Amino acid sequence: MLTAELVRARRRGGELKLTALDAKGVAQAQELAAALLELARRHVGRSRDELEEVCDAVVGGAKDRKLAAGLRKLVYDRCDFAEDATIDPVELRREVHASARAAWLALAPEPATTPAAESSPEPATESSAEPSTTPATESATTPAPEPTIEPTIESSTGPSAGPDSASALLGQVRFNRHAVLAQVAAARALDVATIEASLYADLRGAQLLRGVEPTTPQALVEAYELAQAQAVLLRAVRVTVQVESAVPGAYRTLFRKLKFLRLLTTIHPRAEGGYLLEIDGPFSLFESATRYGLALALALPAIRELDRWQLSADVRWGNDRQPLTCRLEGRGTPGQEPLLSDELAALIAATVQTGTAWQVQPATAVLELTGVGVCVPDLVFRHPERGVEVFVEVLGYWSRAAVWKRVELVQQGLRQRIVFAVGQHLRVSEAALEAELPGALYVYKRTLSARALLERIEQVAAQPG
Amino acid sequence: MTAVTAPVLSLTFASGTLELRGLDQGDAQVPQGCLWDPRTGCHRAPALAYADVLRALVRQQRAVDDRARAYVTLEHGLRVHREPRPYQAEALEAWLARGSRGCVILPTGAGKSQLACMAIDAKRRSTLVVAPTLELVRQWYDLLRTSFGVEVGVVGGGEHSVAPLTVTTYDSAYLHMEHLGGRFGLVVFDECHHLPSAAYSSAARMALAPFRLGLTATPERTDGKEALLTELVGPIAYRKEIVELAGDFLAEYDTERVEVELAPAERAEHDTARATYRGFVERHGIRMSSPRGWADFLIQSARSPEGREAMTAYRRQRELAFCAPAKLDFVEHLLARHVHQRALLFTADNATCYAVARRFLIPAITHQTKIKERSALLAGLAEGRYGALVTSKVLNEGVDIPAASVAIVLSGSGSVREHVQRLGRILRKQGGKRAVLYELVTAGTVETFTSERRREHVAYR
Repeated sequence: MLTAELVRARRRGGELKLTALDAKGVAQAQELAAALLELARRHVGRSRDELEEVCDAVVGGAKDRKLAAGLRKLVYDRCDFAEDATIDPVELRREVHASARAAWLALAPEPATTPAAESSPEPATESSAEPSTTPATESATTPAPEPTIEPTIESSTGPSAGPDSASALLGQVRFNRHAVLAQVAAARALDVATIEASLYADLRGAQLLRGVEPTTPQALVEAYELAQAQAVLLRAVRVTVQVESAVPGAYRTLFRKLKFLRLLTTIHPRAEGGYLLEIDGPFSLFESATRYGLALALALPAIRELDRWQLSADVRWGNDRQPLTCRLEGRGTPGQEPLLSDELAALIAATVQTGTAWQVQPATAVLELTGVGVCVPDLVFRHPERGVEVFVEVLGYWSRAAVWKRVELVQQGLRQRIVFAVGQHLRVSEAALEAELPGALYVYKRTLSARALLERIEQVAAQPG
Repeated sequence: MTAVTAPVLSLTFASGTLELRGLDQGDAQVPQGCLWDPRTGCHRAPALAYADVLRALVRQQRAVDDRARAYVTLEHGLRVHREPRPYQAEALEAWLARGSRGCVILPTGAGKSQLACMAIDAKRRSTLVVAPTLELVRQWYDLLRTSFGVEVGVVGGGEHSVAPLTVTTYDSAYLHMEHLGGRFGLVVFDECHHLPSAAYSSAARMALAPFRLGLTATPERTDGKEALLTELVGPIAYRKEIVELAGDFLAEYDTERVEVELAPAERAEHDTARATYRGFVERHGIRMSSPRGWADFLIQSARSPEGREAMTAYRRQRELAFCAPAKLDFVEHLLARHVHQRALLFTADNATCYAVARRFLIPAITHQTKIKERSALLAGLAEGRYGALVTSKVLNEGVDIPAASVAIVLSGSGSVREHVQRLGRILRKQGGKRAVLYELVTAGTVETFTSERRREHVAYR
């Protein structure tokens, strides 16, 4: 996901408008995406720091830097970094630091009452050969043979400052870093270079790139456009969406997602069809804050699956947290999902064959009982003469908990008449719902029987709705 | 719409709020602070209102099925009993007398953490301690573990374990209180002057803890929002100023400021790099002293190859100023000289910190160090397993490092005076020797961005 800072958007009046990519922009974005993905792939096996350095150069050189930075973020999201686990760095550091401590103490065997330099048991020249055998790390550069420093004590109030002088420094014994590392390396039967490399292998920047999720520049640019919209929602305090769906599946996915994200939804049916959903969180009752922004952003992919949706988000934008409205809309990809499962299609055909007066259709309704829950039926049975309608939801492979939730909906007073078809393997008794309620359970073995279902439909149709 | 048959009311904790079920909309008995929530068909209140709501219902003699409270009574209290200082005992009494809700203002070093342990011991409820930095979280973790002899939970810094005694940061509290808010009966807000910000205050609202203790030396905020502490924690229960406590708790130490000259080659490189970046900054009219200076430089420098060169030059001159080889040589001298004492080294950034750690093979603590390793490193320093430790954090808020008597600050051109003074406070006299603080600056390297320095300043805390 992108962060709000990476969003390309303009303020216009009270609105925040996302800057969409035009054809040229798409081409430019795909080019950048291709370059960044290629770099990532070529850096498999190397460190995060190395990858970040080259990607920074690409972003810095790009015409549209924000676009490039956004794409870079999405590439990083698709990278799998892990620390090299062959040697435990924490344990290794413990050993190295313990050995080093002993080496430091050896520089001044007696508690130092005079500067260490004066009581030095070792010749100072010994260490001057050290850096040449040390792997070239920045921190181990050769100390100049000539004194390069002239420390001057600007203010000294304590007695310890007295003995300091440049001459005391000249004769100081050097800490033999290489010897310490060599000792640890020998004990572990490793070489010094491996010890050096492993010592801080657990730092974020030292993590190794294990692989890059396979994707194409085109897919990355599409993901970028979704990520931009999501990043706007990160700053949203409340979202309203007009939705329409020809299939119950997309509604179900959405409501399940909203529940999982602990968001609260108020559902208003619209006269022209579809619903208006107001989405926010429990604490929104007391204060408008962007606390639920992440959850709202995570809900967006499920909203995008609906046939038609128009979203309006109240955001707090920029450093000044200006209240703005951002509108997003889209159409899903109708036709991709089969409208009805084979099981339901067969049930409809079988119902028609019985010659019943009930007319059956796929349902597009969302049934809700405030404070109790939501259910999205599959089919609606209408009796043209009696003017009665009965919904059917098939819970073939669902959990028992889902069934109990629906039993509760009916018991707590769901207004619509409904029959829940439940697979026998869920071990639920039809008697779980009392006969005088406008809802019933139909427990079936392997296949749904149209006749058995119609019996339950008649039963609930007889109840006052 | 929903038929209510049960005479008993129910109270549940839901994502930082309380759901009160069983009273109809507009019922006269609805306690203050509860609002009707049409989305869920029940009354809702911020978790903060828990004690008030419960008290109101009990006063009406309503039976309440309290499913919100998910905290426990601790099996035992303090395992280590220290003689409280007189003002600690007074502060505890005053806090208990205020219904165990309130703030205690004591100067740095007066033993606020000890007071918190006494409060936990007195209440014996699951307790969450919220502290501003991971460094302080680490310190609370150690203190609670040793004082109560139990495993302590940590939320934040890559850890997520919840126990009856748990420590967290303000940031993690903001993120996780909607899940944790029911599980603690007492919340201790350390350095509670941080709490009244918009985001952090919601962490206090989403906790139902009836008992709350705020600790700080300086409740006053520049934005004047300290009044909010009364609502979020409770009124000031006890206050003692530094003058009233006399100077017993401030360690005395000497300061030595050491200027190190760059070697001629380094000098030349530094000056060239500095000229490159200065030229860029001037051409683009970036004012380094302005609050936006650093951000402007970041943005401008990313726009052109010339800008990237300027950024590279900026980093190089900074690197030379902070960690020139000549300077590290002097650090080596100091480490050797104080090898039988405990030394703490402070650097301005992570890169210098790790460069020093690698060069001298001493342990490092940065924000990337996991809490358990930090704990082990500081224990190692206290026990003498390590003689020195380098950190990129300026431990400036009540952090208590055991037994260090030498501090070495690797500055660029000089640090904020108050910083150095704060660092000095962590030092203790050791083996009859006065503590000493060295500030190593590089001669003839001048400014860094004021705004960047401020940013870092905040990052340290």
